[in-house]
Amino acid sequence: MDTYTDNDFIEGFRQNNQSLLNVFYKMHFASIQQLIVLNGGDAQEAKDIYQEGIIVIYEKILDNKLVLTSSLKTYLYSICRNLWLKQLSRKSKYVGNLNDSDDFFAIEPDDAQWMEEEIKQFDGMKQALLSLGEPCQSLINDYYFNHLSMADLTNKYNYTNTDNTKNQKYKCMNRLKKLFFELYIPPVK
Amino acid sequence: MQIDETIAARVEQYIKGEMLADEQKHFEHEINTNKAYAKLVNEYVAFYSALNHYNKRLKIKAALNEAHQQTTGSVQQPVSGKIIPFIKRNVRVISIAASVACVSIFSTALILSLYYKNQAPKGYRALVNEVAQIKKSQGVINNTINTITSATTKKPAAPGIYSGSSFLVTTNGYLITSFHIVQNANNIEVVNEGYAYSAKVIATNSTCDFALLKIQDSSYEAPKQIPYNFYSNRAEMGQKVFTLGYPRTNLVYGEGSISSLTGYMDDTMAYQVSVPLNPGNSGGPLFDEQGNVIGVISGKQMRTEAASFAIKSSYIVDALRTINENDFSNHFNSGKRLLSKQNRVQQLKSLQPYVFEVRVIN
Repeated sequence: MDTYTDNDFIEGFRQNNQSLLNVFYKMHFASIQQLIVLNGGDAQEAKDIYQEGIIVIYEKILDNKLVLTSSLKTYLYSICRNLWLKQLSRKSKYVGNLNDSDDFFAIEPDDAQWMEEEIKQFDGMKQALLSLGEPCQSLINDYYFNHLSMADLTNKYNYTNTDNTKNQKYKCMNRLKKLFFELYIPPVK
Repeated sequence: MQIDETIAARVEQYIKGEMLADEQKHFEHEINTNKAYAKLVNEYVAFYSALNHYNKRLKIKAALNEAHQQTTGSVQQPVSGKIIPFIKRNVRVISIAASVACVSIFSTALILSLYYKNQAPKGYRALVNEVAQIKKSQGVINNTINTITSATTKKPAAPGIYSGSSFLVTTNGYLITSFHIVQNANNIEVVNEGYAYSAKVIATNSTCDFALLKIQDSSYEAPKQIPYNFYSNRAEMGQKVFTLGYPRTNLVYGEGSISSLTGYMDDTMAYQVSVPLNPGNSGGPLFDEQGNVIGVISGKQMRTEAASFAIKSSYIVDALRTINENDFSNHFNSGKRLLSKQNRVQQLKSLQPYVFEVRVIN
């Protein structure tokens, strides 16, 4: 099997290299699964925490904000550990100590808060989109995530002209915005 | 509604970088001068960035789910409840002793700072030194600039806002100090012999009121060995003790004896000592005559002169042993006990490079 360095993986993340991501995923899954399962979680929670941990690394790399003071492995473990402690305390199950099999360090409070906000924000948007209803949900999906042009949208949704489509899109957007801020309150800076 | 739509369109253009230079200037000018407009724009910016963020995460999640399939096989495993661990693990058994309270709450800085807020009993004044800021604020600014421009060179010490004491416990730059000093700290400097080094909190323990710091400065050269260890037995009443610390910006020696085997409000984790201590001594080491660390100075009871307290070393050692970080645990408590044959003057001379002032600059 090929061996990769942390830098190879970081570069892989940056370039959205799926096969490197698969290797990375396989390498660390067992250790995080063990952490979660030995500390009161199930397989689904292990998967969620693990993916959440990788997303943190992914986002930091994409934003050029990754500062490593340890190996990626230790970093990932520490993040997942922190996320799991948060979840336990939310469920009021925090017992004080975790069974740890790997090295870790304490996540900086700023970082921990950032991680939490990212998750809250994502969940807020997810809920807002779910409760948006049709045709808004599809319209926004096609415009923002599938990058359809106004002309394409006009065709697809049978609007009379592109101005009409634009109008519809803004209406949907405003509804989504309203829903989103009902579900998520940004931290005061 | 009409206005809203225009703003939405403009913000969208602005974020995508599709705005013409003139338009952008006008837009920015309006934001800067019209508060209500700026507020609306900000709301849209926050919304659009959340939407982009959502999009980005969705893509990563899709990639991760594919990786997950690759890892676990295409058939979803019907796993429920416990899974047999893949890796052999060491189960840490924590003995149910008096120290359990101290050990079990040991964890990361963030979680504990939440608990700590409600814990300090009334009448007990933490020995944190609130340094007079008036004349010095200029200095803080100047030195902050120094920090940025000369990151790898030794820095002259900056006047801090809160200060306390700390001491080295490993040869790779780990220090012990009081939790209440570094609680909520953004920026920590440790100072020794006029030089300041940046440090970061590695772990905290609010119950035992101590924190583990690490010097994060490439210009710092740690001594080759630590000339003392933590003493794991209980000290005796009447035993002579001494301290070193930074009640002001210079190192100050104090001596006295163990006056009680319990601390403030009969706290069994602490000794009462008859060493005259001042704000700023918190976090400093308490030595016995042979130079073993028998405690960490923690606080001072208000109004009672010469009644000071130190957390017993045995509790601190027990808590430190639970730290699962090889970088620390491989070096911890491997000191040499070089002080036992020295007289006090020699001891103090030997100890100088090991005791640091802690400055918290928020």
